[in-house]
Amino acid sequence: MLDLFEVITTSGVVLWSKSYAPVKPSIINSLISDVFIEERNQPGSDGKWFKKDSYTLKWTLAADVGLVFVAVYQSLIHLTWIDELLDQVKKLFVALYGEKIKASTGTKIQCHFDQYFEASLRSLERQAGGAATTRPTNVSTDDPSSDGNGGGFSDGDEWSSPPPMPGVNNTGISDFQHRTPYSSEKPNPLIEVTPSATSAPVSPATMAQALLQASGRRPGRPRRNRKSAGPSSASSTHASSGEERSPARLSNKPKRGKEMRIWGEDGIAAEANDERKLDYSAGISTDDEQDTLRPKPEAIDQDTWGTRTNKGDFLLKDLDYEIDGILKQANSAENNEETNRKGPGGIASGLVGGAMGYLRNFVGGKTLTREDTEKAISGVMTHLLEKNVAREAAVQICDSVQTSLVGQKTGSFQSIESLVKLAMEDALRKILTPTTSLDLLREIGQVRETEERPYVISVVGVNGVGKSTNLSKISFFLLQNKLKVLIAACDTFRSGAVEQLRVHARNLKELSEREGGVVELYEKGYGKDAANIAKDAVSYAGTNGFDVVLIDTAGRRHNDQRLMSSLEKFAKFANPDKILMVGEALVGSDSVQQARNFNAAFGKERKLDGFIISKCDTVGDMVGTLISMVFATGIPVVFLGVGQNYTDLRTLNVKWAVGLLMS
Amino acid sequence: MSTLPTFEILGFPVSLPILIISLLAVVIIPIILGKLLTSGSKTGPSSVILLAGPRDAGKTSLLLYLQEKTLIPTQTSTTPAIVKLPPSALSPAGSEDDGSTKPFHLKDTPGHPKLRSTAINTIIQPTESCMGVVYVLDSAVLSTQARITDTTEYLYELLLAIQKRYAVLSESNTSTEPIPLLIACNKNDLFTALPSTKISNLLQTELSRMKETKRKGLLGAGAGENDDEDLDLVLGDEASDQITWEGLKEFGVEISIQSGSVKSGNIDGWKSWMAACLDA
Ligand SMILES: Nc1nc2c(ncn2[C@@H]2O[C@H](COP(=O)(O)OP(=O)(O)OP(=O)(O)O)[C@@H](O)[C@H]2O)c(=O)[nH]1
Ligand SMILES: [Mg+2]
Repeated sequence: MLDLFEVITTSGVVLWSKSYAPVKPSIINSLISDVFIEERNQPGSDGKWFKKDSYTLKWTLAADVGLVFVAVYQSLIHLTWIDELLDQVKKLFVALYGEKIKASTGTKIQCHFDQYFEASLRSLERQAGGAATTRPTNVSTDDPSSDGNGGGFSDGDEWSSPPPMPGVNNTGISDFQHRTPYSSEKPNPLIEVTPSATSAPVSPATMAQALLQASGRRPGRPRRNRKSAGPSSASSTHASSGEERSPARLSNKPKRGKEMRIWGEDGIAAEANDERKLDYSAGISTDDEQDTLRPKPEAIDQDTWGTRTNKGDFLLKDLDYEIDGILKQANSAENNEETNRKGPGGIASGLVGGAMGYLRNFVGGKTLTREDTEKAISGVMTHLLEKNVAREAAVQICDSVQTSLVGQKTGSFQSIESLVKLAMEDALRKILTPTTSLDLLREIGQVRETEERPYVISVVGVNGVGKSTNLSKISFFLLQNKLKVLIAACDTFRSGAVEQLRVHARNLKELSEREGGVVELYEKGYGKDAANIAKDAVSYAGTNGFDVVLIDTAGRRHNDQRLMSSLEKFAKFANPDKILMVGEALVGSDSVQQARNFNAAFGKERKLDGFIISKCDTVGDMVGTLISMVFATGIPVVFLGVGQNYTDLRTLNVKWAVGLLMS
Repeated sequence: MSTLPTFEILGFPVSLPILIISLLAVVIIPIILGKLLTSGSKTGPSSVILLAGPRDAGKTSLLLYLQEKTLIPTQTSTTPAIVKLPPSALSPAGSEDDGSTKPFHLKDTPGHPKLRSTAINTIIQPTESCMGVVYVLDSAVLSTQARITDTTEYLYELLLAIQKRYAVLSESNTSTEPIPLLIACNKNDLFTALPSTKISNLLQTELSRMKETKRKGLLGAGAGENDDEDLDLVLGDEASDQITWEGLKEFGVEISIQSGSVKSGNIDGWKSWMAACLDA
């Protein structure tokens, strides 16, 4: 069952949506934040789906018009046709409203898309051989009018499942009256049509018209009012008009395609039709709240609506033809583009087009395709690899930059290279910018104030990356800020580890004694369980009034199963506020895997909180490890180690790092 | 009778004037084309009011409300949007008179922490027009520390940017108008919403704390390597960590704070603030 389908602009406006069950907006928000902004794909999804709560989300993008199409459904249900639906809806929507969206600079536009969507959905469902998978929610099944539902369709046999009835129950109508100020003026006789309609076979469109007339808005357009005749004629007129029209409809068929967008002479009649479609769709809409949120359409945009019918009912069959036409056109346009790209089209138009395209390379205004950016991207990729970015990360970053550039226009006298460079800078900045505050002092202060317990930091990492050294640098920094620090020696594995920390503790004590700093070492020798020592250290710190506990752990290879698995218990016992992983700036392609394995080592609920990148002073401008590790995990860099002294600890300056990487 | 010199190009005789004209055309046409193809891409619009604030605060909703006069469903923004609005968009609900005389632009920016540079850059670039900043926040979530920190941190960055722009501009230009900032405490229709006076105090205390820990904190990497970066610029007075709205005035930061709600259409106060800052 499809629960929700939304068309959203990148600027955040929901242009069109259809919901079959209430879905919190936060579900789609987390897709946008996690996948689109932070570029964190869920494991195994390969960027094709996203799961949140009990839902699965799938999506497709139309980059050139800045649209996102998202489908939300229950994860338990396997819907095979979702990808096709997304693709079809995208083509339809872009064909119908693309121009308007481009002109609207990312804000709301009116689109009356319900019919198209329903038709696409139904035909896909039919192909899949399934019964109706959409669940009627708002439309109460005990609604008396739904009994006569199917009879109104002249082509009813085509449909395995008739569309849900528009909300023609009495509440629906009174709702409309409430919303329209004009309706109360004089009682419209058509309101009374509803009870009688429930007994007679009636098509949704008729009901919709009844709704339209009942609402009686737009008093300024008398002609339309005239059109809405008496109550009794409403259903009969339209039942017959459908048949009257069918020959004309058939003759129209081959012309579908581009022509369909041109308006006929009889604008008013067609507009009236639109009204009916519109109200029909408003009727079926199952999400009341969304409906009331949406403004009542002021006028139907004539450009985006066809002239298929001049009078009579709106028939779903017609819509199918129209949809087919649009899809065919979209597909052939796609194919054309491909063939154009492959070889010179031949004649004059091809030549002129080619010349223009060539000129645009220099003067700007060129709309980019993937092929255009290929060269520049591979240049940037080589550059990133030279800066010691791991290949895996470089490939993925370049790929997403390349994708984001498709459909963009170059600025005046802007070369593709410079555009790619700008986009890459943006991407790197986005990767390195943290999503949460990294102000350690503030956090410590808050925990001390509100919870009256010590703040616990632990460092992990592979052997020899500088865990103890950086831990000492952090202690020094905290001591300078007059905090009481307890260092816990939980490396009970490597001989000499405890002694090394003892030296550090003594040095730190000497350095900070004058300023009144307090630092102590908590040690229990070798061989014991590190998790237990850590736990004891934290409770010791609690009873002795320490502000911060810094826990050193044993270095371990990230592919050493046994040692890595002990980290989970450690995290549970010590329950650190921050688990920081120390990684060497020197490490190359291994960085991605290191970061991933450590991030996954603490169990389901716990992740790393940040990285300390050590030995940054030894790599010059080759600071690619920063990117690799952050990109692989989405976890921020908290500190940089830049030398041998206690003072050689820095925070990350994103602008500086991006500058080095792009230089 | 002297004939004009002719050349043969690809077997066609071509006279000198024609050759010159065509050469000129080759030079000029691309330039004109370039102008046409990319018309108006670089110079930003004038009279811009910037909408900034944390995620999910209601910036996009506010923009759409001013445009459509109703609450329209939104999702998290990933790109900024600049919209031209008629002055009537700012006239108080129900009245028809214009609050301001000319049309203006509203710039909505994403609130996700990774995308905040759009808003910051709009302020810092002296070439971009920015008549005022509306900092939209969600008054109903300020009970958790994480959200308070996030809300304050973004505000701190914006205020610092405003101060920087003012400092840069007033160096070169004697009559620099400071950019006013409105803290729009949105969603006061919710019962968990804090009143604006409380939020005002909360933000001033939090900003002061933030300034203190920034002073005490570690240096950023690369600090002091190139001098043109004013990394050590602090918000407000160098001598004290205390931050008050009053104290920020002399640094070109003028702050107002008002509650409201896009959902219930209670935004007249914000509208008149915007109208006033466009008139100035
Ligand atoms: N209760 C209530 N909800 C509101 C109000 N204003 C906006 N919202 C809701 O808040 C949510 C977020 O609004 P947006 O306008 O998308 O927020 P935003 O600031 O643009 O967020 P980003 O684009 O992520 O930066 C939407 O679901 C709105 O419906 C309000 O005044 N009251
Ligand atoms: Mg938004």
